[in-house]
Amino acid sequence: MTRIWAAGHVLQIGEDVNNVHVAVTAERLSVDVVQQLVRGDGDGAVCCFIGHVRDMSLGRSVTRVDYEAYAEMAEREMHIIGVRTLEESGARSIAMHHRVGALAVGEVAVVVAVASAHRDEAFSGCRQAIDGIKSTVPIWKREHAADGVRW
Amino acid sequence: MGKVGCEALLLGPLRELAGVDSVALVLEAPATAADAWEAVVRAFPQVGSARTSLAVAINAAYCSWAVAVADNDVLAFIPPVSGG
Repeated sequence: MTRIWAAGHVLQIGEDVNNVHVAVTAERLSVDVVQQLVRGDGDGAVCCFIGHVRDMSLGRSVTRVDYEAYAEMAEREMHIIGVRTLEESGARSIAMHHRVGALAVGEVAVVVAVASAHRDEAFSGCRQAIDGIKSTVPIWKREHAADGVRW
Repeated sequence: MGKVGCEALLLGPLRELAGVDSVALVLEAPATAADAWEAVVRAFPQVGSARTSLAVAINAAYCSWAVAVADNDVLAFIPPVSGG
């Protein structure tokens, strides 16, 4: 199971490579940590996306969500998304942390932070990165609701 | 003809359907990623005919179903992702 479930600490894969920072972790996420990874003195803008566990999904009341990752590949895909995002948005630096394990309603599942000199690049890069995470990064959520469990 | 030995990871909903998170496969060479999936379906029929909704990766990188599997490759069958 160790290869599929993330280790219980923030992994360093991709750290400081092309200003792209990624981690899949079972630890509680910190927005402060993620935004401090990206900000430099030339950056006038840092845009953050924070994804939380919602209490509703498709009309069902959700009580808990288990996130499961193919951690090695998830970090690799996040790194690819980060490099592409910086190239296409013109932003300078990006960090993406995704949580795995059992999360309660309201907990933070993902944090994306993008830094750039001006706001346009930070906004567009942040949008591009979270859209990429949702489309290609091998992470799955299993939602627990009153009427059962669903992937 | 030789054999190709590889490991297949069954992830997310596939893991739950199969009841295991990985399986060792021995395939007739040459074998593609699609052949490896067929071997998984033979071993775990309950995973069903889900291939149309699956992606495949070899050694942690997405690839095509037509890619040849090499000895000691780690394949991953990837159901629709739902992170974020």
